Amino acid sequence: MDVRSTLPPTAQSGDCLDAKLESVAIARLIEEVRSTAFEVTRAYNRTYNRHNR
Amino acid sequence: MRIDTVLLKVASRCNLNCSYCYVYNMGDEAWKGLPKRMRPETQDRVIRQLGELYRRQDHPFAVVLHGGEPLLIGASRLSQLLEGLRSTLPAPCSISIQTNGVLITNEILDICALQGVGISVSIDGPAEIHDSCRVDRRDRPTHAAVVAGVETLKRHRGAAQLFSGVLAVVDPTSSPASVYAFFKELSVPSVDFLYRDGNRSTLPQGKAAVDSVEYGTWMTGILRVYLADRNPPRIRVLDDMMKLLLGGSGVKEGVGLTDFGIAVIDTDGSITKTDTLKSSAPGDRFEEPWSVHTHELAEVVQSPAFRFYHDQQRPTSPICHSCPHLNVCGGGMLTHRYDDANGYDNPTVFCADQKLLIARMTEALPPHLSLPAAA
Repeated sequence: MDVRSTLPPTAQSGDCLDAKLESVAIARLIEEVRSTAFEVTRAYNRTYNRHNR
Repeated sequence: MRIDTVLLKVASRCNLNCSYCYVYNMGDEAWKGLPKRMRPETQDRVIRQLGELYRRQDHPFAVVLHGGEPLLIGASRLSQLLEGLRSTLPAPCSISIQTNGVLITNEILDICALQGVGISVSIDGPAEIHDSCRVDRRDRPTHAAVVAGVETLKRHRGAAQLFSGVLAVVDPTSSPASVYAFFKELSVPSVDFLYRDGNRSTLPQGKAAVDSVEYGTWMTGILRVYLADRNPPRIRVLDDMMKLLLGGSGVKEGVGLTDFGIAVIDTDGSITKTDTLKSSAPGDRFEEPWSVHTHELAEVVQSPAFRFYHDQQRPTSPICHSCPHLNVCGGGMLTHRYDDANGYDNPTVFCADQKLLIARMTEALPPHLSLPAAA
């Protein structure tokens, strides 16, 4: 599968601004920030340690 | 101070010889004098001391089996080690393995699944990109073997818990869209993109000058396809930076201003500084030869010398402190700030790249958004 074929035309033309209102990635982040706004900020998810390599 | 991550070097050697590796190919030769694998008596001490650290710290941390290639210790030793670690470090402490993927087998995966261990695989993208750097010790390509390892991991009945994601080192000459498409095709749950190591005196591969933006340009290409994807995987570096822009917090080392507490234990039991410093200051060690054989880890991490090392990550450059992007960039990784002239008292060598990426992210985020945590 070529992911580029699943992208809306705005992304293929390289315009982040046009994609922002429908971006799943951004909506996901907004929800996560909202849900953790009043919690301890440091997360220990199972996915990653914090080490950068 | 608090430890977030303990990097456990269970094998000092690797079955691959990646050209950009900061452990073997950037000037640090310490690995040559280390035991090839962590010995049982060292392993027993490490397990006990990590349990003691957890009790004293009273806060969870992550243990990452690292190397070299950690799976070189073999299934039997891995089973013993993980059983011991899990007995002293129950959830929510996380245990994970960072592997090149070549040695993944169902036996290994069964052992990891039993102990609730996550696996992250290093793979750089399509074969022509991956194999340009990630070769074995006879310079042979490894992409096919790594993909086979990933497929074995994905087929395992515990894959949903086992497979954490992949680490990919950026080749700024490659096509971001092609790399993204490759990882979509591979169906990985998450990707973290890493910049090639280097510093202001020894520029990273693919970067022409301190103020050039090859890496930033490449990452904005990834950002573009990521934001437009209707079913995107997680991309940690982008998620962390955008969360910070949204007023939230990130967890990744070298992003944001949250202190990162890391201790590294080598195969001989020595307690050392974060391993990425090997790329800027080969041979840099603590003055006192701390070891689990002669010292208690929980006491070492509270010592003035360890705290000094820990505090070095906080950016010191006046340029950084006057930068409006500091709370997102965080000054980058300490090793990337190095300059022969004045050590670490500089912006990251990727400063211009990060500024470009942050600008594109800012454009992409809804301008009206004001989240409660943004204060």
